[in-house]
Amino acid sequence: MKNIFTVLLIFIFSVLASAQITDRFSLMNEFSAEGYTKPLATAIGTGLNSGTYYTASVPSLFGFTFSLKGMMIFIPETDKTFDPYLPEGYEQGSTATIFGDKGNSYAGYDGFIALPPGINQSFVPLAYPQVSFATFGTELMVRFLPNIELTENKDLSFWGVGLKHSISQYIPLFPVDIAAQVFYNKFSITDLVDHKNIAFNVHASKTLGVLILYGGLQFESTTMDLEYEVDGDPSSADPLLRQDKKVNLSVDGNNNFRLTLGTALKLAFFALNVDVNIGSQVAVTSGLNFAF
Amino acid sequence: MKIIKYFLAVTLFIPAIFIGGCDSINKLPINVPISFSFQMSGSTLADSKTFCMSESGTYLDYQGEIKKLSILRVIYRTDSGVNSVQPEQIQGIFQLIISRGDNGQELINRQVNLKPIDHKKPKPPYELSLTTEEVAIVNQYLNSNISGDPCFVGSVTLFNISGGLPPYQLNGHVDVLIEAEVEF
Repeated sequence: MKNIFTVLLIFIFSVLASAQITDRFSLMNEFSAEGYTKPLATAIGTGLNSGTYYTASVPSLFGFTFSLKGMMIFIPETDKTFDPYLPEGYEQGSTATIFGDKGNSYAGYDGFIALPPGINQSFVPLAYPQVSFATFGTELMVRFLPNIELTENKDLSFWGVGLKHSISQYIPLFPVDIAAQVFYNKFSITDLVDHKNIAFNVHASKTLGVLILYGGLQFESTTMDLEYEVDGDPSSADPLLRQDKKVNLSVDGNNNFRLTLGTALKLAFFALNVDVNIGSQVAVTSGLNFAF
Repeated sequence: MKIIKYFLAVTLFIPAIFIGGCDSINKLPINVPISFSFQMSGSTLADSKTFCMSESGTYLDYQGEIKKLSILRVIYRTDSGVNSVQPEQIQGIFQLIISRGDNGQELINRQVNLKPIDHKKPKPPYELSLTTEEVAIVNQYLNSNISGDPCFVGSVTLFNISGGLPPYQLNGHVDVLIEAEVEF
Protein backbone atom coordinates (compact mmCIF):
# COMPACT_ATOMS: atom_id res chain seq x y z
CA MET A 1 0.00 0.00 0.00
CA LYS A 2 2.81 2.33 0.89
CA ASN A 3 4.31 1.79 -2.55
CA ILE A 4 1.09 2.72 -4.30
CA PHE A 5 0.85 5.98 -2.44
CA THR A 6 4.48 6.67 -3.00
CA VAL A 7 4.22 6.22 -6.73
CA LEU A 8 1.15 8.39 -7.00
CA LEU A 9 2.31 11.14 -4.75
CA ILE A 10 5.69 11.57 -6.36
CA PHE A 11 4.55 11.46 -9.96
CA ILE A 12 6.11 14.73 -10.96
CA PHE A 13 8.81 15.05 -8.37
CA SER A 14 10.35 11.64 -8.83
CA VAL A 15 10.80 12.46 -12.50
CA LEU A 16 12.01 15.87 -11.53
CA ALA A 17 14.64 14.30 -9.34
CA SER A 18 16.02 12.24 -12.17
CA ALA A 19 18.49 13.52 -14.71
CA GLN A 20 15.99 13.99 -17.54
CA ILE A 21 14.27 16.91 -15.86
CA THR A 22 17.01 18.41 -13.79
CA ASP A 23 19.20 18.59 -16.90
CA ARG A 24 16.60 20.89 -18.41
CA PHE A 25 17.05 23.51 -15.74
CA SER A 26 20.71 23.87 -16.59
CA LEU A 27 19.63 25.06 -20.06
CA MET A 28 17.84 28.03 -18.53
CA ASN A 29 18.80 31.12 -16.65
CA GLU A 30 17.14 31.60 -13.29
CA PHE A 31 14.50 34.02 -14.60
CA SER A 32 13.33 31.62 -17.30
CA ALA A 33 13.48 28.70 -14.87
CA GLU A 34 10.98 30.52 -12.69
CA GLY A 35 8.50 30.86 -15.55
CA TYR A 36 9.15 27.27 -16.60
CA THR A 37 8.35 25.82 -13.17
CA LYS A 38 5.64 28.20 -11.94
CA PRO A 39 2.74 26.03 -13.24
CA LEU A 40 4.28 23.05 -11.44
CA ALA A 41 4.36 24.98 -8.17
CA THR A 42 0.72 25.93 -8.75
CA ALA A 43 -0.33 22.39 -9.64
CA ILE A 44 1.33 20.72 -6.69
CA GLY A 45 0.06 23.46 -4.39
CA THR A 46 -3.44 23.05 -5.77
CA GLY A 47 -3.21 19.31 -5.19
CA LEU A 48 -1.78 19.40 -1.71
CA ASN A 49 -4.25 22.07 -0.62
CA SER A 50 -7.17 19.88 -1.76
CA GLY A 51 -9.16 17.12 -0.16
CA THR A 52 -9.10 18.48 3.36
CA TYR A 53 -12.82 18.13 4.08
CA TYR A 54 -16.05 16.55 2.91
CA THR A 55 -18.23 17.78 5.75
CA ALA A 56 -18.27 20.75 8.09
CA SER A 57 -19.65 18.62 10.87
CA VAL A 58 -17.10 18.06 13.63
CA PRO A 59 -17.82 15.52 16.38
CA SER A 60 -18.29 17.11 19.79
CA LEU A 61 -17.12 14.01 21.69
CA PHE A 62 -14.68 11.93 19.69
CA GLY A 63 -14.07 11.14 16.05
CA PHE A 64 -11.42 9.39 13.99
CA THR A 65 -11.24 9.35 10.20
CA PHE A 66 -8.86 7.55 7.88
CA SER A 67 -9.01 8.75 4.29
CA LEU A 68 -7.44 7.83 0.98
CA LYS A 69 -7.39 10.92 -1.18
CA GLY A 70 -6.95 10.94 -4.92
CA MET A 71 -7.05 13.98 -7.15
CA MET A 72 -6.51 15.21 -10.63
CA ILE A 73 -5.23 18.71 -11.27
CA PHE A 74 -6.03 19.97 -14.75
CA ILE A 75 -3.42 22.15 -16.40
CA PRO A 76 -4.95 24.99 -18.45
CA GLU A 77 -3.47 25.85 -21.86
CA THR A 78 -2.30 29.18 -20.46
CA ASP A 79 -0.01 27.30 -18.08
CA LYS A 80 1.72 25.44 -20.90
CA THR A 81 3.67 28.40 -22.28
CA PHE A 82 5.51 31.38 -20.86
CA ASP A 83 7.67 34.24 -22.10
CA PRO A 84 11.29 33.52 -21.19
CA TYR A 85 13.87 36.07 -20.14
CA LEU A 86 16.08 36.74 -23.16
CA PRO A 87 18.84 39.27 -23.80
CA GLU A 88 17.76 42.53 -25.42
CA GLY A 89 17.88 42.35 -29.21
CA TYR A 90 16.99 38.66 -29.34
CA GLU A 91 13.90 37.21 -30.96
CA GLN A 92 11.01 37.12 -28.50
CA GLY A 93 8.08 34.75 -28.07
CA SER A 94 6.72 32.10 -25.80
CA THR A 95 8.13 28.66 -25.08
CA ALA A 96 7.03 25.55 -23.20
CA THR A 97 6.62 25.47 -19.44
CA ILE A 98 7.27 22.18 -17.67
CA PHE A 99 3.77 21.09 -18.77
CA GLY A 100 4.17 22.35 -22.34
CA ASP A 101 5.38 20.62 -25.48
CA LYS A 102 8.35 21.71 -27.58
CA GLY A 103 10.85 24.24 -26.35
CA ASN A 104 11.49 27.27 -28.53
CA SER A 105 14.82 28.60 -29.84
CA TYR A 106 15.68 32.24 -30.24
CA ALA A 107 18.18 33.64 -32.71
CA GLY A 108 20.29 36.64 -31.77
CA TYR A 109 23.68 38.29 -32.11
CA ASP A 110 25.41 35.65 -29.97
CA GLY A 111 23.77 32.64 -31.63
CA PHE A 112 20.81 30.50 -30.68
CA ILE A 113 19.37 30.32 -27.19
CA ALA A 114 17.56 26.99 -27.03
CA LEU A 115 15.09 26.34 -24.24
CA PRO A 116 14.01 22.89 -23.07
CA PRO A 117 10.72 21.15 -23.83
CA GLY A 118 8.06 20.33 -21.26
CA ILE A 119 6.53 16.97 -20.44
CA ASN A 120 3.41 17.66 -22.54
CA GLN A 121 0.88 16.83 -19.85
CA SER A 122 -2.59 18.27 -19.26
CA PHE A 123 -3.12 16.86 -15.81
CA VAL A 124 -1.28 15.96 -12.64
CA PRO A 125 -2.60 13.12 -10.50
CA LEU A 126 -1.84 12.98 -6.81
CA ALA A 127 -2.86 10.65 -4.01
CA TYR A 128 -2.04 10.34 -0.35
CA PRO A 129 -3.45 9.03 2.91
CA GLN A 130 -4.80 11.25 5.64
CA VAL A 131 -5.98 10.75 9.21
CA SER A 132 -7.88 13.05 11.51
CA PHE A 133 -8.89 13.06 15.15
CA ALA A 134 -11.70 15.19 16.52
CA THR A 135 -12.92 16.16 19.93
CA PHE A 136 -14.90 19.08 21.39
CA GLY A 137 -15.72 20.43 17.95
CA THR A 138 -12.08 20.64 16.90
CA GLU A 139 -10.32 18.32 14.46
CA LEU A 140 -6.63 17.68 13.92
CA MET A 141 -5.73 16.43 10.45
CA VAL A 142 -2.41 14.76 9.66
CA ARG A 143 -0.83 13.68 6.37
CA PHE A 144 2.47 11.89 6.43
CA LEU A 145 4.74 9.65 4.43
CA PRO A 146 8.00 8.21 5.73
CA ASN A 147 11.17 9.33 3.95
CA ILE A 148 11.51 7.62 0.59
CA GLU A 149 14.75 7.25 -1.35
CA LEU A 150 14.09 8.30 -4.96
CA THR A 151 17.61 8.19 -6.32
CA GLU A 152 21.01 8.25 -4.69
CA ASN A 153 21.15 11.16 -2.23
CA LYS A 154 17.60 12.20 -3.11
CA ASP A 155 15.03 11.49 -0.40
CA LEU A 156 11.41 12.51 -0.61
CA SER A 157 9.54 13.57 2.47
CA PHE A 158 5.96 14.73 2.86
CA TRP A 159 3.88 15.78 5.80
CA GLY A 160 0.95 18.03 6.47
CA VAL A 161 -1.02 19.16 9.46
CA GLY A 162 -4.35 20.96 9.76
CA LEU A 163 -6.73 22.21 12.38
CA LYS A 164 -10.47 22.58 11.94
CA HIS A 165 -13.01 24.07 14.28
CA SER A 166 -16.78 23.96 14.17
CA ILE A 167 -18.39 27.40 14.02
CA SER A 168 -21.98 26.24 13.86
CA GLN A 169 -21.74 24.58 17.27
CA TYR A 170 -22.03 28.07 18.73
CA ILE A 171 -25.24 28.80 16.80
CA PRO A 172 -28.07 26.59 18.06
CA LEU A 173 -30.42 25.16 15.43
CA PHE A 174 -28.42 26.60 12.58
CA PRO A 175 -29.59 24.75 9.41
CA VAL A 176 -26.11 23.95 8.04
CA ASP A 177 -22.79 22.99 9.56
CA ILE A 178 -20.04 25.57 9.25
CA ALA A 179 -16.35 25.13 10.06
CA ALA A 180 -13.09 26.99 9.63
CA GLN A 181 -9.84 25.21 8.83
CA VAL A 182 -6.19 26.03 8.53
CA PHE A 183 -3.49 23.66 7.32
CA TYR A 184 0.09 23.42 6.22
CA ASN A 185 1.83 20.93 3.92
CA LYS A 186 5.51 20.46 3.26
CA PHE A 187 6.90 18.37 0.48
CA SER A 188 10.62 18.13 -0.19
CA ILE A 189 13.31 16.28 -2.09
CA THR A 190 16.86 16.55 -0.81
CA ASP A 191 18.86 19.34 -2.48
CA LEU A 192 16.27 19.81 -5.19
CA VAL A 193 12.90 21.08 -4.11
CA ASP A 194 11.13 22.32 -1.04
CA HIS A 195 7.41 22.83 -1.52
CA LYS A 196 5.47 24.67 1.19
CA ASN A 197 1.73 25.23 1.19
CA ILE A 198 -0.52 27.03 3.62
CA ALA A 199 -4.28 27.46 3.36
CA PHE A 200 -7.23 28.81 5.27
CA ASN A 201 -10.83 28.02 4.46
CA VAL A 202 -14.36 28.37 5.67
CA HIS A 203 -16.69 25.61 4.56
CA ALA A 204 -20.29 24.56 5.04
CA SER A 205 -22.18 21.32 4.61
CA LYS A 206 -25.73 20.06 4.72
CA THR A 207 -26.56 16.43 5.42
CA LEU A 208 -29.61 15.06 3.60
CA GLY A 209 -30.02 11.43 4.64
CA VAL A 210 -27.00 9.56 3.29
CA LEU A 211 -26.01 12.48 1.11
CA ILE A 212 -23.79 15.37 2.17
CA LEU A 213 -23.58 18.53 0.08
CA TYR A 214 -20.61 20.73 0.88
CA GLY A 215 -18.74 23.76 -0.34
CA GLY A 216 -16.19 26.28 0.80
CA LEU A 217 -14.00 29.25 0.05
CA GLN A 218 -10.26 28.97 0.55
CA PHE A 219 -7.31 31.34 0.58
CA GLU A 220 -3.97 29.67 0.03
CA SER A 221 -0.37 30.22 -0.89
CA THR A 222 2.35 28.00 -2.29
CA THR A 223 6.09 28.49 -2.44
CA MET A 224 8.43 26.10 -4.19
CA ASP A 225 12.13 26.51 -3.46
CA LEU A 226 14.19 24.93 -6.19
CA GLU A 227 17.91 24.30 -6.33
CA TYR A 228 19.94 23.37 -9.41
CA GLU A 229 23.40 23.75 -10.87
CA VAL A 230 24.46 25.39 -14.09
CA ASP A 231 27.57 24.03 -15.79
CA GLY A 232 28.80 27.28 -17.30
CA ASP A 233 29.63 27.36 -21.00
CA PRO A 234 31.75 30.41 -21.91
CA SER A 235 30.42 30.27 -25.47
CA SER A 236 26.75 30.15 -24.43
CA ALA A 237 24.56 32.67 -26.22
CA ASP A 238 22.89 33.42 -22.89
CA PRO A 239 25.28 35.55 -20.79
CA LEU A 240 23.65 34.21 -17.63
CA LEU A 241 24.77 30.66 -18.46
CA ARG A 242 28.48 31.30 -19.11
CA GLN A 243 29.73 30.58 -15.60
CA ASP A 244 29.30 27.65 -13.23
CA LYS A 245 26.79 28.52 -10.57
CA LYS A 246 24.31 27.11 -8.13
CA VAL A 247 20.84 28.54 -8.57
CA ASN A 248 18.41 28.83 -5.66
CA LEU A 249 15.00 29.79 -6.86
CA SER A 250 11.84 30.62 -4.93
CA VAL A 251 8.75 30.20 -7.09
CA ASP A 252 5.32 31.31 -5.86
CA GLY A 253 2.36 29.36 -7.20
CA ASN A 254 -0.58 31.18 -8.76
CA ASN A 255 -3.02 29.40 -6.46
CA ASN A 256 -4.40 32.07 -4.13
CA PHE A 257 -8.13 31.53 -3.94
CA ARG A 258 -10.53 28.71 -4.70
CA LEU A 259 -14.16 27.72 -4.56
CA THR A 260 -14.92 24.11 -3.64
CA LEU A 261 -18.20 22.35 -4.38
CA GLY A 262 -18.75 18.70 -3.60
CA THR A 263 -20.90 15.87 -2.48
CA ALA A 264 -20.40 12.82 -0.31
CA LEU A 265 -22.23 9.59 0.20
CA LYS A 266 -22.14 8.42 3.79
CA LEU A 267 -23.06 4.86 4.66
CA ALA A 268 -22.45 4.01 8.33
CA PHE A 269 -18.66 4.28 8.87
CA PHE A 270 -17.89 4.67 5.24
CA ALA A 271 -18.04 7.83 3.11
CA LEU A 272 -17.19 8.45 -0.51
CA ASN A 273 -16.76 12.01 -1.66
CA VAL A 274 -15.97 13.91 -4.80
CA ASP A 275 -15.52 17.64 -5.25
CA VAL A 276 -14.40 20.17 -7.77
CA ASN A 277 -12.01 22.97 -6.85
CA ILE A 278 -12.12 26.05 -9.02
CA GLY A 279 -9.08 28.29 -8.76
CA SER A 280 -6.26 29.26 -11.12
CA GLN A 281 -6.16 25.54 -11.92
CA VAL A 282 -9.10 23.20 -11.57
CA ALA A 283 -8.76 20.09 -9.43
CA VAL A 284 -11.16 17.21 -9.00
CA THR A 285 -10.75 15.40 -5.71
CA SER A 286 -12.20 12.12 -4.59
CA GLY A 287 -11.87 10.36 -1.28
CA LEU A 288 -12.53 7.08 0.44
CA ASN A 289 -13.15 7.88 4.09
CA PHE A 290 -13.55 5.57 7.04
CA ALA A 291 -15.02 7.59 9.91
CA PHE A 292 -15.63 6.34 13.45
CA MET B 1 -25.17 1.14 -5.88
CA LYS B 2 -24.62 3.18 -9.06
CA ILE B 3 -23.42 6.09 -6.95
CA ILE B 4 -20.86 3.88 -5.21
CA LYS B 5 -19.63 2.60 -8.57
CA TYR B 6 -19.32 6.17 -9.77
CA PHE B 7 -17.27 7.21 -6.77
CA LEU B 8 -15.02 4.20 -7.09
CA ALA B 9 -14.57 4.84 -10.79
CA VAL B 10 -13.47 8.39 -10.12
CA THR B 11 -11.07 7.24 -7.43
CA LEU B 12 -9.54 4.47 -9.49
CA PHE B 13 -9.50 6.52 -12.68
CA ILE B 14 -6.82 8.79 -11.31
CA PRO B 15 -4.08 6.20 -10.83
CA ALA B 16 -5.13 4.49 -14.06
CA ILE B 17 -4.50 7.61 -16.09
CA PHE B 18 -1.31 8.22 -14.22
CA ILE B 19 0.06 4.79 -14.96
CA GLY B 20 -0.62 5.15 -18.68
CA GLY B 21 0.44 8.74 -18.98
CA CYS B 22 4.21 8.76 -18.88
CA ASP B 23 5.13 8.39 -22.56
CA SER B 24 5.81 12.02 -23.29
CA ILE B 25 8.04 12.32 -20.25
CA ASN B 26 10.30 9.71 -21.79
CA LYS B 27 10.35 11.32 -25.24
CA LEU B 28 11.83 14.79 -25.52
CA PRO B 29 12.47 17.03 -28.51
CA ILE B 30 15.63 18.89 -27.53
CA ASN B 31 17.09 21.78 -29.50
CA VAL B 32 20.82 21.45 -30.09
CA PRO B 33 22.64 24.50 -31.47
CA ILE B 34 26.03 23.88 -33.12
CA SER B 35 28.18 26.47 -34.81
CA PHE B 36 31.43 27.15 -36.60
CA SER B 37 33.48 30.32 -36.53
CA PHE B 38 35.59 31.71 -39.32
CA GLN B 39 38.28 34.38 -39.67
CA MET B 40 38.93 35.69 -43.16
CA SER B 41 41.41 38.33 -44.18
CA GLY B 42 43.25 39.53 -47.27
CA SER B 43 42.14 40.61 -50.69
CA THR B 44 39.82 37.64 -51.06
CA LEU B 45 37.75 36.32 -48.20
CA ALA B 46 37.30 32.57 -47.84
CA ASP B 47 37.52 30.05 -45.02
CA SER B 48 36.52 26.48 -44.29
CA LYS B 49 35.93 24.65 -41.00
CA THR B 50 34.82 21.24 -39.84
CA PHE B 51 32.23 21.12 -37.09
CA CYS B 52 30.60 18.14 -35.45
CA MET B 53 27.52 17.42 -33.36
CA SER B 54 29.76 16.35 -30.48
CA GLU B 55 30.87 19.96 -30.04
CA SER B 56 27.53 20.52 -28.33
CA GLY B 57 27.44 19.62 -24.66
CA THR B 58 23.70 19.04 -24.93
CA TYR B 59 24.24 16.53 -27.75
CA LEU B 60 26.88 14.69 -25.73
CA ASP B 61 24.58 14.56 -22.70
CA TYR B 62 21.91 12.70 -24.68
CA GLN B 63 23.95 11.02 -27.45
CA GLY B 64 23.05 7.44 -26.50
CA GLU B 65 19.31 8.16 -26.36
CA ILE B 66 18.86 10.17 -29.57
CA LYS B 67 16.41 8.52 -31.99
CA LYS B 68 16.09 11.20 -34.63
CA LEU B 69 17.87 14.39 -35.71
CA SER B 70 16.33 17.19 -37.78
CA ILE B 71 17.78 20.48 -38.96
CA LEU B 72 15.62 23.47 -38.01
CA ARG B 73 17.42 26.73 -38.77
CA VAL B 74 20.70 28.22 -40.04
CA ILE B 75 21.88 31.74 -39.25
CA TYR B 76 24.93 33.86 -40.02
CA ARG B 77 26.25 36.51 -37.65
CA THR B 78 29.25 38.77 -37.71
CA ASP B 79 31.53 38.44 -34.70
CA SER B 80 30.97 41.09 -32.04
CA GLY B 81 34.70 41.90 -31.74
CA VAL B 82 35.96 45.43 -32.46
CA ASN B 83 37.69 44.76 -35.80
CA SER B 84 35.57 41.84 -36.92
CA VAL B 85 34.62 43.57 -40.18
CA GLN B 86 37.09 45.87 -41.96
CA PRO B 87 36.44 48.15 -43.72
CA GLU B 88 33.17 48.41 -41.86
CA GLN B 89 30.95 49.14 -44.86
CA ILE B 90 32.01 46.28 -47.10
CA GLN B 91 29.35 44.17 -48.71
CA GLY B 92 29.25 41.45 -51.30
CA ILE B 93 27.94 38.05 -52.21
CA PHE B 94 28.19 35.70 -49.27
CA GLN B 95 28.40 32.05 -50.18
CA LEU B 96 27.81 29.34 -47.61
CA ILE B 97 28.40 25.70 -48.45
CA ILE B 98 27.70 23.01 -45.88
CA SER B 99 28.96 19.57 -46.86
CA ARG B 100 29.05 16.15 -45.32
CA GLY B 101 32.11 15.64 -43.17
CA ASP B 102 32.66 12.07 -44.38
CA ASN B 103 32.48 12.25 -48.18
CA GLY B 104 32.24 15.96 -48.95
CA GLN B 105 28.79 15.78 -50.56
CA GLU B 106 27.23 19.24 -50.67
CA LEU B 107 24.10 19.56 -48.56
CA ILE B 108 23.48 23.31 -48.67
CA ASN B 109 24.95 25.78 -51.16
CA ARG B 110 23.66 29.33 -50.93
CA GLN B 111 24.67 32.74 -52.25
CA VAL B 112 23.13 35.87 -50.79
CA ASN B 113 23.86 39.58 -50.91
CA LEU B 114 25.18 40.49 -47.50
CA LYS B 115 26.50 43.52 -45.68
CA PRO B 116 28.26 42.01 -42.64
CA ILE B 117 27.99 45.12 -40.44
CA ASP B 118 24.18 44.75 -40.61
CA HIS B 119 24.46 41.45 -38.72
CA LYS B 120 26.83 42.47 -35.97
CA LYS B 121 25.79 42.90 -32.34
CA PRO B 122 23.37 44.45 -31.43
CA LYS B 123 21.76 43.86 -34.84
CA PRO B 124 20.02 40.55 -35.57
CA PRO B 125 21.70 37.70 -37.45
CA TYR B 126 20.92 36.78 -41.06
CA GLU B 127 18.72 33.70 -41.38
CA LEU B 128 18.85 31.40 -44.37
CA SER B 129 15.43 30.05 -45.29
CA LEU B 130 16.01 26.36 -45.83
CA THR B 131 14.24 24.64 -48.70
CA THR B 132 12.39 21.37 -48.25
CA GLU B 133 15.07 19.63 -50.32
CA GLU B 134 17.89 21.01 -48.16
CA VAL B 135 16.13 19.94 -44.99
CA ALA B 136 15.54 16.46 -46.39
CA ILE B 137 19.12 15.87 -47.52
CA VAL B 138 20.63 17.18 -44.26
CA ASN B 139 18.24 15.06 -42.20
CA GLN B 140 19.04 12.00 -44.27
CA TYR B 141 22.74 12.48 -43.50
CA LEU B 142 22.16 13.20 -39.81
CA ASN B 143 20.02 10.11 -39.32
CA SER B 144 22.28 7.79 -41.32
CA ASN B 145 24.93 8.32 -38.66
CA ILE B 146 22.79 8.84 -35.61
CA SER B 147 24.78 6.70 -33.21
CA GLY B 148 28.05 8.24 -34.35
CA ASP B 149 29.07 11.85 -34.49
CA PRO B 150 27.85 13.51 -37.69
CA CYS B 151 30.32 16.15 -38.86
CA PHE B 152 29.99 18.91 -41.43
CA VAL B 153 32.39 21.05 -43.40
CA GLY B 154 31.30 24.66 -43.55
CA SER B 155 32.82 26.84 -46.27
CA VAL B 156 32.21 30.57 -46.46
CA THR B 157 33.28 33.07 -49.09
CA LEU B 158 32.57 36.76 -49.57
CA PHE B 159 33.14 37.86 -53.16
CA ASN B 160 32.23 40.75 -55.48
CA ILE B 161 33.15 42.95 -52.54
CA SER B 162 32.34 46.67 -52.59
CA GLY B 163 32.25 49.43 -49.98
CA GLY B 164 35.95 49.49 -49.21
CA LEU B 165 39.43 48.56 -50.39
CA PRO B 166 41.51 45.50 -49.47
CA PRO B 167 42.94 44.18 -47.29
CA TYR B 168 39.59 43.01 -45.95
CA GLN B 169 38.82 41.40 -42.63
CA LEU B 170 35.71 39.43 -41.70
CA ASN B 171 35.19 37.27 -38.60
CA GLY B 172 31.86 35.59 -38.16
CA HIS B 173 29.88 32.56 -37.16
CA VAL B 174 27.35 30.21 -38.73
CA ASP B 175 24.93 28.62 -36.28
CA VAL B 176 22.92 25.53 -37.12
CA LEU B 177 19.97 24.52 -34.95
CA ILE B 178 19.25 20.79 -34.82
CA GLU B 179 16.33 19.13 -33.08
CA ALA B 180 17.22 15.88 -31.36
CA GLU B 181 14.39 13.56 -30.47
CA VAL B 182 15.53 11.84 -27.31
CA GLU B 183 13.90 8.70 -25.95
CA PHE B 184 14.76 7.42 -22.50
